Amino acid sequence: MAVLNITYGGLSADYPLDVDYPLTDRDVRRIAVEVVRSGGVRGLPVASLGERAFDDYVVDRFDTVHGGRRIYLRPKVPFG
Amino acid sequence: MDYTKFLGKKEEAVLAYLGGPFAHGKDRRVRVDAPRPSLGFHRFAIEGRVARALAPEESPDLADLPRVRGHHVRGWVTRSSLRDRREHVQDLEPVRVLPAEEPAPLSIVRARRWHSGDLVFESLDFDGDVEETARLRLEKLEPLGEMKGVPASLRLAYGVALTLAVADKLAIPLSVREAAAAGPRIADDGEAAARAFVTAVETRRVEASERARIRAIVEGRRPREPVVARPVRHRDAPTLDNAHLRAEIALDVAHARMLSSRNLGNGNLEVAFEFMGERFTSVVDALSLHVYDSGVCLAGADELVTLESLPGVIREAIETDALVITRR
Repeated sequence: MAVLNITYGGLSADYPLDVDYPLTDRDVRRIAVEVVRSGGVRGLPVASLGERAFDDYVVDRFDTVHGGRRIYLRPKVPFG
Repeated sequence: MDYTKFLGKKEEAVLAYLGGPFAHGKDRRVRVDAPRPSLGFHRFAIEGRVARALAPEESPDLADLPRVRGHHVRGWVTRSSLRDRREHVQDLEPVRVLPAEEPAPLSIVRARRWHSGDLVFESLDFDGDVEETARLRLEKLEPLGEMKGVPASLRLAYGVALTLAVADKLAIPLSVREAAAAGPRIADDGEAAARAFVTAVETRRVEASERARIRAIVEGRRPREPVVARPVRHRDAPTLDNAHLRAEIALDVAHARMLSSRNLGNGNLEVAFEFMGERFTSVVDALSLHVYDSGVCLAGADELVTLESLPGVIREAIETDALVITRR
């Protein structure tokens, strides 16, 4: 079981992903577009979201101590 | 033998039409010509292997066919031959050609095994005290529990009927076969068990639908199913009082350990945490965990992220040798 956490517009929200196969970064971005667009991510009310809204986003992955996986989709930020 | 005399031979017979392309007689199967009749007994004109429905008929004498007796539930019968409740998969069958007035739940049905292998309705038997008592309990969604003299077929029918009644109340579609999976147990335990079972079935459906949806997205297809709204969890209802707990959870799942937090007023929360062996201090919105000051140099882009995604940002800074801590 994985949880996708999407950060958009300064807000973050979780979306459970019941998948038993690895997701590429591209998969994650496409899933995020779909679920945010359709209003399925509680806490991320986005009226209109472009197909490529997450193209420049970064995907971070963390394994949890319980054997699950957290996937973070967040804006790329500059350093320095 | 002159086989040609069988060709084009015409005759009439009363057969049960139970759907599909064929109707079955005692020793043959004939294709039913269009337009196909309603389900039930019909007089057919048969020519060769093709039958054409002429008119509906009353049920013929079924006495020569094997008899099955059991308890009725939603158009199905739990066979009285049922001895062990684990046999319910084999001992639960639909009954075809039921009368227009649907038999009461748990009534005793006699059926006959038609040539196609289907059960067709023959008659109702008189209920005993046990059926009447069970029916009264069903109206109140009570368990059968330790009620005496309940045959296995009635117990299974009762469990199915109770489960379906609860599913109706919850507006969750459920088939007889689905309900039968837990029928005897629910007959023993009653409405609470039925509610838990029906809810679990619905949860599994939602999960399966969700898996299919995600699979469709990954494969580049448009998902057919709409998004299902997620139930509200505790952390989805943020308050100032639970800000510390939510911040701790947000950091913990990203392998960061919260050291302390304090309320700065105006809805802001200062959070100190350890990540990849280093200590960081950030200022976030206490309700949304939106970052105001990440505590690391992000060229003024701090507000793009939240406390949840901040550890990933810091990890990237560390891995690219770009980490500059600005708040201690």
